[in-house]
Amino acid sequence: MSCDEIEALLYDYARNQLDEARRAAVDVHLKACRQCSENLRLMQETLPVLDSWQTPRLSNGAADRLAQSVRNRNSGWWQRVLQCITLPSRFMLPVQAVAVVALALVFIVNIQPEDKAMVSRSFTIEMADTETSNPIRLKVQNVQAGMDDLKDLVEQYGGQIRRHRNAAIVVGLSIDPDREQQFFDGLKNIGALEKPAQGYQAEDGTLVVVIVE
Amino acid sequence: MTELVDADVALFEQVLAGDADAADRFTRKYAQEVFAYCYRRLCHRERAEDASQEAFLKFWKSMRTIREPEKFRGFLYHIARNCCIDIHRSANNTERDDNLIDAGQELPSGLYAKKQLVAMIRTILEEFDETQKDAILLVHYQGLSYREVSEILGISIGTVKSKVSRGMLRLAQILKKRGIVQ
Repeated sequence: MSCDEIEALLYDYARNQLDEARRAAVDVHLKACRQCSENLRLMQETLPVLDSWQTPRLSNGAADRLAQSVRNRNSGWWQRVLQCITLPSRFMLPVQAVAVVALALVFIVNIQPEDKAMVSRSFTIEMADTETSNPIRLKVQNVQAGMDDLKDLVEQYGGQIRRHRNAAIVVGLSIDPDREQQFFDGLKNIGALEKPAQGYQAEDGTLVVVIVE
Repeated sequence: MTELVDADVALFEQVLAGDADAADRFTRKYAQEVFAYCYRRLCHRERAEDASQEAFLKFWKSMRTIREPEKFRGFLYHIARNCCIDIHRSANNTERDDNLIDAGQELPSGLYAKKQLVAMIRTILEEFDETQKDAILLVHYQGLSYREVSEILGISIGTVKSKVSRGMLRLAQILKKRGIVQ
């Protein structure tokens, strides 16, 4: 064996991970080569030093959030609502706050296109940008995660996202009309879907999806 | 090396079958492991937590494409690696990270020396090419098998072995030059 070949085996040799035949071959070389013996000694001395690089523990809170996000990812929107209701008390929001948010959501959902003047300013601006008065609405827990999921879904269906803005909530996309229904079913896995009967396409046929939290 | 045992594969198969409790146990079992890898790769606690979360969500979305269940761990790490690469690219890398020591910060001498040593190991590894650095992190620190790492990095098992051994020797030689080892 050459020194070059020994170099590639030293790590396993130092950790007793070589099979007998290879170990014996390395032993023969080491007896005759001072440089490789020195390299082995250095490697053996260094391995315990490298173990000083410990990582912090993932906090219980972070582990809980991770498990929760996976649970959410795996369940439908109605299950997510149920999970919110049954969250441990430390995650429960004050009843009044929940009620106010729920009322606001009901109010927004029920607003018709002709009521635009009553919608919040930012929403009105976004609506103007969508080139349709009645976009598909997708309610997600996190806009960025929802955007990522949507991008994946669109790619999966051979569609194209024509324009979107990272910090914004409007996505225009095109998709094969034959696969549209399947695509809508996929949207339901990402968030709560509100699809109007008509008017959700721009003049050029682009589907317009508004992602809201 | 931490070889996957039948119980790990059985747990993953339960997850695939839609068992919610198994999914919870699986996430908690591998969360720390994946976080540790992301932390060593990004050296930043919050970013490592973000990368771990992102990795699990992506893993969950695509795990049904895994044809051989015993390869799930390599698949999970492959995704985690890509998430780390994305987060590293988009992050503001001038921001201080968790391993730096504040000027004037008072630490017990032993702890100070340990932090200095960890910072040194990190800095040395930063100079390695990405594949070699990952091979060392995955084999030495995460305890993955050469076969798993070869699949994660898309290189042959022989190349992984060689990259790890030569990389560790290079690391040892630099630490010797800096007086850390004799």
